[in-house]
Amino acid sequence: MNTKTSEISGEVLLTLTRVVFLTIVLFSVVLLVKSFYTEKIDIKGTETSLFFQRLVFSPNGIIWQDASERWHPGVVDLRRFEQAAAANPNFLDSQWASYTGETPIIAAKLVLTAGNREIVAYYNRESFNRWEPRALLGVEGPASVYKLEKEAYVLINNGEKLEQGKLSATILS
Amino acid sequence: MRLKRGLRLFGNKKGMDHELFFTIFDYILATVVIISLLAFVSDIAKKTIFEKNYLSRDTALLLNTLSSAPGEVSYTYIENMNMLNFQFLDGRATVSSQNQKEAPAWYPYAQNKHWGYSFTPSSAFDPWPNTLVFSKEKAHIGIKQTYHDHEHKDI
Repeated sequence: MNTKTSEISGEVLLTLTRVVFLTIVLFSVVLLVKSFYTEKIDIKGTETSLFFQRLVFSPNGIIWQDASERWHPGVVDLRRFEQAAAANPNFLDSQWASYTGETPIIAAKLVLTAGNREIVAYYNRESFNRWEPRALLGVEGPASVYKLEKEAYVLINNGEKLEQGKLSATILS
Repeated sequence: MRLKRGLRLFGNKKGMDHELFFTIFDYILATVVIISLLAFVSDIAKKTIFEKNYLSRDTALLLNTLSSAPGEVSYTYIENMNMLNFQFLDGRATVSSQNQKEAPAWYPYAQNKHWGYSFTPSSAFDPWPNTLVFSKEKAHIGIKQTYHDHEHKDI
């Protein structure tokens, strides 16, 4: 039987189908636009890598300065490294690379191997201790911590002569 | 006999009423959807938050790179920075847009406390410059903002 009520019910059903279809189309376009629109910029990898370069090459850090006040990139001053290892916070946090008025965004554990000795110094030790448990492999997201491990063979100036050594760093961001 | 809907639209007055209602509803719905989509796309196109975030991070990274350099460096930074304003103060690279309603974006950079940092904005005559010149000389890092027009091909 083809009554007016059944006709209207059929139209309502068709309209609902159209509304559902339009909603799907709407969200498809939104997703399509979003896929072309980058919102997140992650520079943690670059930043941590750059930190290590800064450590090895930059003046006023752990590298050696001779009597003529010339800095020697790649040559670690044992005395300065021991000075950094002895205190926390140290001159690396407050003088060499200081995030003025901001929470530091990088922390690092530095290990200098000189002969049989291993000297450990920290950059922003407090942050390092807090972030290290969160630096889990493969875990990503806004609260995750990026971890970079780097090693470099360096020369160490012990005040008398140059000796071979290794600088290892665990850098968190 | 059951009539086709099109025939009923013109032949049956009562049928036309609700057919017409649903058709108008469809048109209104389609219009609303199209306007919403256009507004969404236009809103995204106008937003400069990505550019500001990108530039603040990039310039902060650049300052960290200059700090890593053992020697003297001069670097002219040319990006698409029209209508954006820069500020480098207290270890923050801040980028803001002409639209005051949009929040500025900033990113911290690590300062070497043995060095001096200076930032020279461009003159008030050129409020929205698009070239930054970074230079590192001994114990000083300077950033100069200059207007870059089409006549200055040498930059």
